[in-house]
Amino acid sequence: MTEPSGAMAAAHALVGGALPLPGQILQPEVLCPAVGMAVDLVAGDEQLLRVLEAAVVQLHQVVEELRLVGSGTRGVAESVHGLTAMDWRSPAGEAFAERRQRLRVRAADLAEVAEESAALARMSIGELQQQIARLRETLTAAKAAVATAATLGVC
Amino acid sequence: MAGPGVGPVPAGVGRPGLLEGLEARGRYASPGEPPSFSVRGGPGSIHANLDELERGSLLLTGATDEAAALSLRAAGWGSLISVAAAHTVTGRVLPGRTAELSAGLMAVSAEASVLAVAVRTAARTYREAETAARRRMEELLGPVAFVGALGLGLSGQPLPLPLTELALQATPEVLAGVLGLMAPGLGRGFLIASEVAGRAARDEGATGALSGPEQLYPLVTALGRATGLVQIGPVRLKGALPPADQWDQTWAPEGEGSISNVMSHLDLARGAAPGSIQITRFTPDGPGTSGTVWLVSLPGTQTGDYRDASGWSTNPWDVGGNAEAMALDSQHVSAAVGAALRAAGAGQDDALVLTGYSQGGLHAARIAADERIAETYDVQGLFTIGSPTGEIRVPATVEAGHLEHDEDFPAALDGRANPQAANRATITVSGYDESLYPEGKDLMSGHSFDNYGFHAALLDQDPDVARQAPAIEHIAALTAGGGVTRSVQFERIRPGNPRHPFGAGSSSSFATHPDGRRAGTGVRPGVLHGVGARAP
Repeated sequence: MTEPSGAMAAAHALVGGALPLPGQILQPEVLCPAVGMAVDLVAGDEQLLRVLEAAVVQLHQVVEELRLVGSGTRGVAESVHGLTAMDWRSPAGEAFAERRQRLRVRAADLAEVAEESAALARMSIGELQQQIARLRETLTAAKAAVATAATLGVC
Repeated sequence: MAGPGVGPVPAGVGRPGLLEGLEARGRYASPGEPPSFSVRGGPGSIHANLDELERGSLLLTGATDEAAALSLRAAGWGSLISVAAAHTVTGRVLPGRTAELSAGLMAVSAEASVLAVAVRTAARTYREAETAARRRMEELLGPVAFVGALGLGLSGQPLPLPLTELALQATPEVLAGVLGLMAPGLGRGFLIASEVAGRAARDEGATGALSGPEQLYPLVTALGRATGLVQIGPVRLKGALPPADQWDQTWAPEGEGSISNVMSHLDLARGAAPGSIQITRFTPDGPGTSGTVWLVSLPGTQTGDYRDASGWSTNPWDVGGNAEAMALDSQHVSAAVGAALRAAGAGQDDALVLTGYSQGGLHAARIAADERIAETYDVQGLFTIGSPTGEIRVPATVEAGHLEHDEDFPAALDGRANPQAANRATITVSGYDESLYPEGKDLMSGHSFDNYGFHAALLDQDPDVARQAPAIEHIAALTAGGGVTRSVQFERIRPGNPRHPFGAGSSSSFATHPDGRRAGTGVRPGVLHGVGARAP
């Protein structure tokens, strides 16, 4: 999804020497379209970068929320577990004990789901941060290429 | 006090049934049968379990709300994770997980809600069944019990406590019937008057039909005051009370046991000048205790002529004291005890233990339930002996114990068994120290202080008692160390105008708090305060 796009590829080629530098062999018919593509797409990728950065912030918020919900759900499970001290000796009491136990297990399971989800969200944050790093790198390169072309006045 | 060297008493232990308070109120010792006891209420009782059910219901309701709130919270993350879901592999799993979490929590909330309702309904059903059974029994057996109690009473024999209580419940109806026979409309008028007086004097928060004593005593009190037979007025310290730091009489437990120690303080109060209470200041050294503890011991009714030259009875523990406790919530006595504690140097939030015998126990229970006292002191313990405290609601924060003989006539004057709760237990003893009754027994034999002392010595030897009635252990821990003690004499004065403890010019110690702010009255002036007005 965030592999270098056309503009990025051109920028990489410029910087890496795959394309001849304008100062060495000035071939405007080759260089200018690539620089033009880079200029066009830098704006779009910067927007994507901002979206991904915002997603990271939001995911941090989700992780915190999941932590709170996990802790709250654990609290619900413990509250329900606290009912085991209730001394209710009758068929109704036995039925209650059975349902109370199921409820406690369900709440504990959900607490685990919340905790696992928080871990997933943290992994997702990691993935996003890697993508952001790559995107920043290529954007920097593209900007440098465009700046070089502009400085040489080739296009 | 009697302290016979006999072994532990046979205990009426075991799990009480739902209607235990009605079916098996104590044990009846036939002549020669050894003394015994049974315990109702306390942490092992069915009523404690009903309290547990109600607490469980509250807890489940809390879990219901919490799970629902968490579910809503989890449902609101869709927009936050949409980008991550579109751009990362792990993020794609998140929407499903949070949806599962949200739906699961909603299901947990619904299940907890169902359980909360079920538990609450079960507790209410148990209580309603008990109330219905008690009412049915009162309706069916009340008149019969009245006749039986009247017969036994007239013949001077001790009355079984449940019989007296049933008879009292039926008394208003029986009296109305008798009055109706004497004059048409008289019985109906009596019932209306007793209902009005009873409603006016009823404890806050009490609901449902008035019990027999609730109908009878306020009306009797009003009539007594109107005729001058019952005198009620503000109670104040008689003379100055120095702070406890200056008291020279010390008190130390003599290894007798908690109940016997309580009784030894009550004995000091009984032996002091008329109208006195005993106040003891402890600095406990037991585990888990800290700070100063004040033990207030109130004696029983003191008979005699305590009238001053103007005919005003100055002893607050005379018969009128019972009327104040039964119908007026001991508001004057409570104010006087508050004043005495303050004069003695009791500080904010000091621990307070209240004990009383007979009328003193009634006052002690009223004081323990008095919000004005609770605002200043940490009321931790209550122990009454031979007192009719069934109508009095004791706060759940107070560890309360009641000792009653199963043939104690005054203890039955509440017309009902003491409420049972985890923090409130009643020990009903049966049997007599025969050496105390060389001339035989009569109606008041079961109320004998010395016979209670006999039982106290036996109960103190039995670890089961403290286990079933934790108030005993709690009071023992609070009063474990030594202390200084003093008799504090009160006097009743003529009521001023307005005649309640907060009125201008009254002797009340509750007129203001120590910090100077005005105390909440907590007093219902009611119809009774307007009866029998006299010039100050």
